[in-house]
Amino acid sequence: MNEIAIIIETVIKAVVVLAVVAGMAAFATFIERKVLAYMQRRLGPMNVGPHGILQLAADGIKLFTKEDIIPQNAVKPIFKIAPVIAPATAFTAMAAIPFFPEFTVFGYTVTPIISDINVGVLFIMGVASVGMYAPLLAGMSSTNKWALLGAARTVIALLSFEVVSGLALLAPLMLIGSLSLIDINDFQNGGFSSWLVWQQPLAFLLFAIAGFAETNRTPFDLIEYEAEIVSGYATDYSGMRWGLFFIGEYANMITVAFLVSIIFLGGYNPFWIIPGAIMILIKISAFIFLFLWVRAAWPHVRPDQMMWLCWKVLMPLALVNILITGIVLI
Amino acid sequence: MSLELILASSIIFVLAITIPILFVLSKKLGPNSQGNKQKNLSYESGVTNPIGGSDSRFSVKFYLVAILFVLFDVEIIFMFPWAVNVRELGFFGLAEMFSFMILLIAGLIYVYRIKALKWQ
Amino acid sequence: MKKGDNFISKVKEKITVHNIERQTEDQVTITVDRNDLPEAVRMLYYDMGGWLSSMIPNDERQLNGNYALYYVLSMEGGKMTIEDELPQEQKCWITVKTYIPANDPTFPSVTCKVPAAVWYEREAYDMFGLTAVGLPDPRRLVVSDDWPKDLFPLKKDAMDYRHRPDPVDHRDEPDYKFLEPNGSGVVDVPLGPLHITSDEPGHFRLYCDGDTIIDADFRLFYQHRGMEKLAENRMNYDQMGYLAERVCGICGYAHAIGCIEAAEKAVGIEVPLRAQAMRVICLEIERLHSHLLNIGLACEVTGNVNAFMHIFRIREFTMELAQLVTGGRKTYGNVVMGGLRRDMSGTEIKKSLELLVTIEKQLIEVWDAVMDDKAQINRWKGVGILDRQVARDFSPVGPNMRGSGFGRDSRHDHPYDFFNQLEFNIAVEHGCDVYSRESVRYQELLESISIIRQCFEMMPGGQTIIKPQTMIKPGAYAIGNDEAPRGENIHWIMHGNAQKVYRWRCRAATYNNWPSLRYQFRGNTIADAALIVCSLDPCYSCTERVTIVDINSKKSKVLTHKDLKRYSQTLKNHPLKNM
Repeated sequence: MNEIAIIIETVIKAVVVLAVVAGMAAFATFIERKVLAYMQRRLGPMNVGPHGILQLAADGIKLFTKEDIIPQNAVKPIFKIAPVIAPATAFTAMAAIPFFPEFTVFGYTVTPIISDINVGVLFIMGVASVGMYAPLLAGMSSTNKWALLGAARTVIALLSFEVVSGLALLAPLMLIGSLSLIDINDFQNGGFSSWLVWQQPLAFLLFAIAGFAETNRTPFDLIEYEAEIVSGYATDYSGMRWGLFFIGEYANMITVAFLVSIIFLGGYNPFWIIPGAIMILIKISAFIFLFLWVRAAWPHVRPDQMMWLCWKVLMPLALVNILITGIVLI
Repeated sequence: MSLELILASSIIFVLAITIPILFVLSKKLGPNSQGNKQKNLSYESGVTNPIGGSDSRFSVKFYLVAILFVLFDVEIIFMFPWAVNVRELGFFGLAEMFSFMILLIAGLIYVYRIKALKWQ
Repeated sequence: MKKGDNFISKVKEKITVHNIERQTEDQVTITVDRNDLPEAVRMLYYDMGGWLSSMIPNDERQLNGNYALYYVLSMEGGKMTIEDELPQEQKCWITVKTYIPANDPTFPSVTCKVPAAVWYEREAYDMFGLTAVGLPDPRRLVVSDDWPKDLFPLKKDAMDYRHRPDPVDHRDEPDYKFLEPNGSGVVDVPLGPLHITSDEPGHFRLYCDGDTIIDADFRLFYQHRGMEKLAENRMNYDQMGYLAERVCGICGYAHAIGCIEAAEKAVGIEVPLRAQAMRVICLEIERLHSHLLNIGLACEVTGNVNAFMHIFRIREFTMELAQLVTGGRKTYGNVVMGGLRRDMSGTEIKKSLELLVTIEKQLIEVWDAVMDDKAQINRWKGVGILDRQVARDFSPVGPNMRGSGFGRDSRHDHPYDFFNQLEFNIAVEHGCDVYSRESVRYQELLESISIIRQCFEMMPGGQTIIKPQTMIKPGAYAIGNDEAPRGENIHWIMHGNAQKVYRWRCRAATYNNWPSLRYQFRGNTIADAALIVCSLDPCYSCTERVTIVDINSKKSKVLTHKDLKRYSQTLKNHPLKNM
């Protein structure tokens, strides 16, 4: 009886997470356009609804009612399945994220995490790496030079930074001694000064940079940067299938924002008089704003520059960080 | 398999129901392919006759990076359990892992020296 | 001793020169034998420091029973070193002319000795059926792949409009043969015409190893408009200027000036000083907005959209400036033979000067911000190298050239209009890469602002137009040159009878820049391909002389600047609502 209750509760949580995150992802696109516009002294979308807020609904409808074109030379089964991988992995990664502190509804205590896995961090990173197959397969299955280039670039962009993000996380994990995100959050409940970013500033920087690369955001969005390779792996996709990639990317952005907030920025611990739930929302909003800000401020990097950054700068730095942390600990 | 992992995959079940519904709806609402040959050609920057397939081989540089990734990432997986238990393992554990990492760094330096990371 | 005589006497030592004609003070034409042509051009080009500025094939069968070729060389010194440049009073145009008998339309190719001639000689075959014997690359250039084999559009007796060539079915169109490198594992990547950053009618075939470009080839002229034919058949001189403007959507004014001044020079009209000053101002305004556009695009292609938007904001001021000078947001519709149609008032000059201060201030601000970004500079540096020797061989023009350390500038070398009274520097950078070209453009922006300011301050009084009273002499021809934003534009006009043009040849700046592009691609990554094309500031429509179709809505309404601004800020009362 109890187990059935747990399963029902989990499914409800899953539906809520899916709906809320998908909504947030859609809203993030609107915010992105607005923020970029203001940084460029423009107004951004203004015509649909007050201040263009309904633009995201319009975009959604448009995406939804587009024709689904499958190129005749494409490897059809793979071409069709590839876009599903993107949101599936992005959302599955969220299963191990504690979004808010525990709260009580009608005497029933809810833990806002779908499943408290004791190796949460590892789970998220593992699932997120599977997500890499989406652009890779999409690019290789559509018979198109630009898509193929996008797929090839996936290798250098996403794979390389996978190593950096793994190494960057090791140092904070050594301090905490647990892979569960709830434990990581509780480790930082001593107020502002106990945030891990003060003890591990380098790891924070490395992980943030790797986060930009893995969600393929500017300046590291080389697998789909329009000016260079048209739309990379997504060149031949249209309508819903393209939309799935899109949702996947923004869901990944939100996952990274949550991860950074929980691991480095004190998670959902209350701060001063602000309750924890509000606190984490502020943190992830700030981090998503950082995503947009960087996009506005930074030119795009070239693949060779990115490789140089990853293998010759970030990776040695991450290794040195682990060494120093180890020495200090013992 | 533990209960947590089964629960974690619940989100996949929800998606497995949602995404097909979306596809069916999209197909019902949107226009359907009329079998237009020109339209279904793959995109070649506007050139109407495809200029060779994409089954052409790609430069070995990309494979090299992929192999490097496999090497380093497997090593990082080894380090995760160590990182969690580094306090219990004490000085001995630290020394052991450091010698392992020195090998890792030596590998990186080797890769750097043979110019496998040079991109042009 | 007149200008150019020293060069001609040197040519005479080796080659028999049949005839020497002088069009203007600094334009001389020498006639040589068909077989001496390559050697004559080579001597002028390499030995005496000339640059191939244009080549005009002409059908003169009605005049003397022959075809004629005119190789226009700009004598200004090789410029490989500083000492290499000719003194200012020796610089001139020397045209090498040769006749080709109508019954044997072949000539020895100059390309083997002077590579810069390659596109001109390919075009000569397409348009006139004149075969360059020994041309290394005899593919078609201008006309489309399915164009009938025996139809040469610019021949005077070709193109009977009652008999149109039959259209060829799309599937039967012959394929253009691209120059392909050999070797396995080479991937050919198509760039354009429907590419997101290269969305103009040009198709580039990049041959890549991984993502390094090892070679490239391109096919342009998808939209040949046949303007030269149009000018010969139906236009009178009042209409010529407007037609020339339609060559380009961005730097059209420079074409109008080039065309009109060629016609003016051929009959010897002196334009009033005030009109000269205003022509210079318009040309420089055009340079302002064109360079801003290009710097903006170079930022955008590297992902710096913010810089692009801010640069375009500044560009808007230059449009306002154009409005003050000519009454329209662009500088168009103002040039006629003998002067300009519109004069400026004193208050407009005052306002323009104020606007210039704003432009200069904001420009420096934004450029400093862009240059503050190491990542941006890293994207530009070392990319798309235009080797100095390649540049010497192919005679590119404009910022493309000046970025490689050659101080070629038509305003300085062959000053026209007001330019010999103004002080300005030629911006030269020695990096040969995209960064140098953009940097040259920025320095030229500041120079242009200074030039406009000088013109306003020295603005001569009097008329802006004279009534040309000259009889137009059939067969007279001359070159009109000016420095468009993209480089030197050369127009060549031969007058016909009955107030018509006999032959108009328009050589847009980009035409000279294309052939060397292939060398700039080599060794770069695909990531930089679009950037390299962009840094050339290519003007597809200039090169191809495409028609711009103006689609007017059925209803129209005059909106004031205020209305538009108010609407764009408040979004209330849509201006077209009550129509």
